[in-house]
Amino acid sequence: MEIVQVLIPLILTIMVYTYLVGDNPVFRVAEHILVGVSLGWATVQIFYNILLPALNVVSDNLGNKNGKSSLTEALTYLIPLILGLVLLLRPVRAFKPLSNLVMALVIGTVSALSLAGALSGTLLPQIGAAISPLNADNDPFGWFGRIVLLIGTLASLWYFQFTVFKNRPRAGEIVAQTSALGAFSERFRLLGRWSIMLAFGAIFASVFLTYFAALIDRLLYLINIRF
Amino acid sequence: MACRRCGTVLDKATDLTPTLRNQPEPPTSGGRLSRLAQARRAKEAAQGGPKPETSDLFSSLRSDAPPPPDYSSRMDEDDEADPTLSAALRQVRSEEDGEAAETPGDSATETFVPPPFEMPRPAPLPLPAVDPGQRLAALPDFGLPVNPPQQPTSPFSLSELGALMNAEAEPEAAFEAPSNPAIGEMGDDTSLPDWFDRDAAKASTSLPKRPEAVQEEAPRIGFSENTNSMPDWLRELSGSAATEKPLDESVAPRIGQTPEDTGELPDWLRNTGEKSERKPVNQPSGGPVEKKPNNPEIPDWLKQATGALPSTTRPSFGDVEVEQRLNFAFDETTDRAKEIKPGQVDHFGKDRLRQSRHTGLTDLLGLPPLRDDEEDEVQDQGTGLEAATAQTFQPAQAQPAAFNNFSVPDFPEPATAADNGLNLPDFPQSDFSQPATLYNGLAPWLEGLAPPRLDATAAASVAPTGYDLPPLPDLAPLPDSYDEPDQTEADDSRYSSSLVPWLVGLRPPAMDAFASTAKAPDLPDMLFGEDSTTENPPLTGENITDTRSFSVRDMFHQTDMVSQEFLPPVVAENPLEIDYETGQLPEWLRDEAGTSEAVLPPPPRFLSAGSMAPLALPPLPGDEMPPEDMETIPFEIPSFEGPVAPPNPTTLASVTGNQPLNYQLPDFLAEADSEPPLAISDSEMPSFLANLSPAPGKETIENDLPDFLTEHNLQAEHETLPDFLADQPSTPAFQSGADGLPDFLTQSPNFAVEMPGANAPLPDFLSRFEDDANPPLAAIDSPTSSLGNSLEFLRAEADANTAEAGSDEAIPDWLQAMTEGRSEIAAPKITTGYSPLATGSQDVSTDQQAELPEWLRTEAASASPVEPLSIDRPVFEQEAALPVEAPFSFELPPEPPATSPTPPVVAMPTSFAMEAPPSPAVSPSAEMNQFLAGLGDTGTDGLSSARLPSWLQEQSPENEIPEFKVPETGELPDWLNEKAANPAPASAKAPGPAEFGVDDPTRPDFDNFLSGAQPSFGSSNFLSDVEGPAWLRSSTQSKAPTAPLRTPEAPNPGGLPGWLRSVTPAATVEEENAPTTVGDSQFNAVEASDNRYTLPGITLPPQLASAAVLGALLAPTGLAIVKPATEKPPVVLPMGMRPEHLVRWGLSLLLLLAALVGLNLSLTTAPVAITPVVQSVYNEIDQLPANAKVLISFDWEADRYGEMRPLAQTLTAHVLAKRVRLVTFSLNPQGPALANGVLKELIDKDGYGNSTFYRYKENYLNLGWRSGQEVALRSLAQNMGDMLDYRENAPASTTPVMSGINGLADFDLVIVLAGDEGNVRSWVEQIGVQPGSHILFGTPAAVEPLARPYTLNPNPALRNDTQARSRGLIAGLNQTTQYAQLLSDNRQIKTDDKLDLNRRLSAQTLGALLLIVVVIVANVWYLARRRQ
Repeated sequence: MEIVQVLIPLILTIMVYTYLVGDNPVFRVAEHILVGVSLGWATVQIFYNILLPALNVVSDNLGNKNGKSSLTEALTYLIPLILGLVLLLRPVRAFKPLSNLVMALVIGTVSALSLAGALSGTLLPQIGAAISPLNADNDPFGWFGRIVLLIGTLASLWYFQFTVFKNRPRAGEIVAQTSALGAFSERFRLLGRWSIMLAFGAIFASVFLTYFAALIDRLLYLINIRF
Repeated sequence: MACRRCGTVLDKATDLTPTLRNQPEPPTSGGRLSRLAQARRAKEAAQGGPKPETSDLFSSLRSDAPPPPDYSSRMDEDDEADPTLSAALRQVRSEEDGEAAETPGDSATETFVPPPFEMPRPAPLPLPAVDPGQRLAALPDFGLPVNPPQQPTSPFSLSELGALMNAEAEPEAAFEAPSNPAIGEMGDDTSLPDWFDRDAAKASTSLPKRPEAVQEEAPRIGFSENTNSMPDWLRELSGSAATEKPLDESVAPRIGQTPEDTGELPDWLRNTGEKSERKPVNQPSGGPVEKKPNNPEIPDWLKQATGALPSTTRPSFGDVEVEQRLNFAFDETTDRAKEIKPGQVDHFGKDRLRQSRHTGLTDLLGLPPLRDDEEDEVQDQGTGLEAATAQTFQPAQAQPAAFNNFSVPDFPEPATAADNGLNLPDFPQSDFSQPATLYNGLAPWLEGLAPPRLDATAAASVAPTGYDLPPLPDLAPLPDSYDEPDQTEADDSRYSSSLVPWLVGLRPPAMDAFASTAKAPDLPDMLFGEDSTTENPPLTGENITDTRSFSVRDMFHQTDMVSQEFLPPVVAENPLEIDYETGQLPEWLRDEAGTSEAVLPPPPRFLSAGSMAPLALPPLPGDEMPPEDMETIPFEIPSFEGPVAPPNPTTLASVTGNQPLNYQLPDFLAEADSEPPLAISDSEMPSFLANLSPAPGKETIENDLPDFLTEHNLQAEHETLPDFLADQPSTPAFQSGADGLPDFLTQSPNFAVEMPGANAPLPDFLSRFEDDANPPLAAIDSPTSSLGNSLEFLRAEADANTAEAGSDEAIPDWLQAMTEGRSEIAAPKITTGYSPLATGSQDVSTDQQAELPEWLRTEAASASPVEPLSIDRPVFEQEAALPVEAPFSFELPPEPPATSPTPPVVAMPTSFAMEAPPSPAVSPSAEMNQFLAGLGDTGTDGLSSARLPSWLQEQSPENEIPEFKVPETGELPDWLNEKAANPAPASAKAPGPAEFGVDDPTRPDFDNFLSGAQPSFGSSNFLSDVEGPAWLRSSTQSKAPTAPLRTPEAPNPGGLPGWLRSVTPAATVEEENAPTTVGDSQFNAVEASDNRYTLPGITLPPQLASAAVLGALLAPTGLAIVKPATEKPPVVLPMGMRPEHLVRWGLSLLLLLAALVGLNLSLTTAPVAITPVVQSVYNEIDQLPANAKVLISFDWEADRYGEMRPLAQTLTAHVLAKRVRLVTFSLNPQGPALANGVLKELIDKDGYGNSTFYRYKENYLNLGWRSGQEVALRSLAQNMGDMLDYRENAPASTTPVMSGINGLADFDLVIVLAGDEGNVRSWVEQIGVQPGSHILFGTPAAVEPLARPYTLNPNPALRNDTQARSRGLIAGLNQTTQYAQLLSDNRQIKTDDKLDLNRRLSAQTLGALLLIVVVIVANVWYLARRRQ
């Protein structure tokens, strides 16, 4: 049994790495196995962690099981269950309006939470962090870092300024000349572009380390296999 | 269905226009494009066919452009609107197609006979859409641009003048005129002027035909096939006198009804006619002539003209000219335009600088210059041409621009007075703003009249180019009427006040004719005026409004104004007794002026001292001055050798009192002076010439005769006379003597004085010539005078061939037969062509030699190794293959008609058509009949001597009419007899007079020039390019080989600029014009040809040729050469062996190798450096008190197992080491299992020391997974007791570990092991914002850049606890290793040996280094490749 537990990951790992040769059925099989196992795991988790407890609550409250009966509590779970069923009936045309209502409820709720959280948890804190006082410490590198951070942030934001600043066409000019602000904008956008590219480079390097760590983990697993 | 262009019947498969045939087939695969195309076709079919997008300027430039508008339909509309014009056009085209002229009434029922299909030609230049009627109206009033090549926009062109007149007279109406009448409109093929697009003219079913002549005997200068023998000014004249209805109906001219029909009058006659109106209109025709004020001042326009005389350099005819012409066509800025300073206004008060911008093709296309407000708009639109073409035509503005580009026909080398060594005093200069270069374009005859401001250097520096000529002088401030008898010079101070006496009556050529008239006066009607006594009523009222009264009589009275009677008595008595040595006017003149010497202006420059040449002036009419006295009169000859505008005989007459002087004659007239008195009857002279010529019996008319009369008809070749001349004898006014003269001439007040009797002796100057061994005008020839050169040259020509010319042998057979009334010998058809680009000089006009007498042809043949063209060869058959300029085909008529000569043919010169197919309907014989029709008025010979004026009869030897033969030696004057007795070798240069030696370097090489030999100063293609006037070129091209007529060669490459050579047609005209079969073969042949960009064989005047070149360059050929792409066979590589695969394989192997090496070598060993961020996280956890409530959220999945498992295990180990209550939780389904695995590893194993402390549900709990991300977090933040544990599925609220914990906010520390950035943000946004939350993040390295902004600064000084931030972040293997180092160092907690953090870190470090190297190498390689 232990060998099976060792061989299965080993085989699946080798199957996945066959993708280096190219897309092949072995890789596809490993891929499908991963997806299937994940969905199966998720289904089991949903059933046992969400659906089954909900049904138990409903049944307990409606059936007066264990001596408690609370329609309100039952409805607390029963209504979401019904809405979930309506979503499952979305392919049916007759239930589509209802499913849309359920979908609207879900999306609306998530959107509200996300927007509120984004405003209070991301936007404002990020603005506050960007404008942190330069003289917070006596570290010159800190100063420099904060200045670079501020300029990079502004430049990155300015990069998405697509308005072209041009002078008013003079008489005889077909194409208006770029104004001084336009020239500065172009250069500042270029700086923002470089800032964004630096951030992307850092993310790419981090991602590489992450997946290289996965490789290392698999190699280490293979190396440490002991039959 | 027939081809719209050529009329060839096409089958349905090829039922497309040539342009459309080459369009790519629309998609038929059922796609969207195909459906759209089908729908469009269906719609077009429902609407009657595709409509031309005339508004789109470049629509015709595209291969997929719709077909051009149907010109014929427009012509139909025009037929209704203007039957006269349309009829004329129909007739012209019908003649071109060999069809008989039809009456206007036949146009409705006229059936269209399509001509043979021809090769498709590139689409023409587009033009803005214009009203058809306006376009027709914009057609040249003469129907054909008969201007010489050097005269693209001659200021003396009636077409130009007519447009300007229209602009002046009817601004509104002229504003609507859409196109330049000089070239018509070239919006598309069919909209091209008919003379430009011959095919369109032929294909048009409703093109107006030439109307029937109203009166056959009326002298008219129509467009007959004989126009090639006409001088340039006569061509213009004839063009303007075409019987077509003019543009402006309000000034519609009438076809000449009488000999006085002024429709044949040239511009200068109009001008003089206008000027003649200065005289009192109520002046009796036979009464005394009122003297004009003797104002010695020079008019302003003449003063301006003196700014720069033509240079002594010959106008180049070579590449420079062609290039300049093309530059002109391409709207290149001319040098003249650059010289114009801002603020200068022209005679119309318009900004010259602005108008100068509008040059070249835009003018040709009739595009008006932009107005001030339009120019900005055009610039805004970005396409100036498109915007310009969208405007309506504004002749009032466009015409001056055209004038700015006018040119003067090229005549023999111009020689200025400065060149002749003149040193003339300056005339008092009037202020004129025009630059000196304005004078470039002044006609030589005006130069001579102009006040001198000569400087040899300046004159040479402003050498005229022949066409880059300045606009004419100001003309605007002319009085509206000249009817007032007492009108003084103050009223017309601009001209009359500044005129010298002999210039009174002169006006700027043809300018004042329209300068002050509300309606463009048309000459025929205008000339009659209110004094007309002919049957033609004056054009008044509805015909002409606000037209100054004018009459031919008054016009010719003008000559009298400065004649003897107008001159002061002292002048008449002492004509031209001027002390030229001192530059002072003669005493009598000063006396006449009644003023002091200071008031009088200095004499004209040609009267000044220096390089005087003895001038033999003929006596004034009635003057008693003996000839011998005249010979002593020093007189300087001004230069007239430059480009000669239409001559002004009136001017000539006015100068010397009806005795034209050579120095006042244009070149073509001056050349004739070198010849003996022309043995030509007055029947050969048009009425106006007869009137303008010296009085019969007193002077010869040769000076007034055009060059074709003087050059080629010295032997009395009546056959070469044009129709209008031939018609003249039919005029009753020319019967004999004074009676034969026109009425208006006989009504001249001086007629009685000037007209001698029938037996009047030869004029004095003529008789003197006879007596004198020297040529009559030789005395006036100065050694440096080019006029003298020309005279001498011609004289030498005549002398050298007198023997030959005098014999009948020299007369061609056809000429002899013509004289004998036989028609069995057909005269060679003159196929003069003008094809500067297509055929060159050697391919056209070779038959022009037939026009020359035999002795001249011999002379020409001796100068060229090429065999002269045999006149016996019927060349007219080759006309189809040759682009000809003017079909000149004639032969002896069977019997000259006794009466009713054939009406003049208003023919469309085929020189401006794309090709000249033979005219089968009009045989050469018939043409000759027409030609000779005017000669046979009284008898079969048609040359009755009775028709000749008496003075001519006397002049001719033995009192006989020189009937079509070269005069015998005995008939010639003595000076010619002497020459004939010792004829010079034909190859030798013509000896000049004594004062003009042969070896004189300044002597122009006219003999070679006319004989076609290479001029000494010209290039090899001298006169072979587009610059040479027709007559000049024809004489040169007579040396062209005759054999390859049907296969003319390409133009001489050396004669064209390099860039133009590439676009010249490589194929012969025959190949290009050869009708090809309709079918695929035609296009297949083209596809196989490499001449993709070759130009069609066009035969156009230069400006039109330039336009055609431009059109050919711009227009798509539509014949795409589709060559199959030669694709290399792909190299089949085995799977995975492609370069990209190799790179991937290589990198993968490198990374694998690095990982393996790192795992085995353990490059990084403890201790590792601890970063602040790791230390901060460690501190946060390490600060937890015992039994603290800690929540670890396993929000990562198995894909992050390599990083997150060591991290989670390390952090959990630290937490467990703190003996806190631990609750795990997950927001993804895999989290609970991962958490369960970590907990089992750390708790269940004894090595961590946790198994003894931690019990499930007691102090640690796995709550499993909760779906919903933000929603779940938001709900769990308030209540998480309802959750079930992962292992036992028991409610969390029932577990001891959850005691005191209702929500997430109740935990002392929340450690979020987030696998992605979304989880981090969700936790921060939903839980981190909660007050008192403490969150630590553990993320993979990939999430760290995104999660770091949500982390508080590790520096406590920079922390702001109020912010929703995580308190710490640990990410990746590196920090995990650091954290493990801290645990090991501080807590002696050993991590799982299976984790092998150091080995992992070593492998990752090695992999990172490899990545850095790969990135650097890849970038270097990329940069290196990009540099390559």
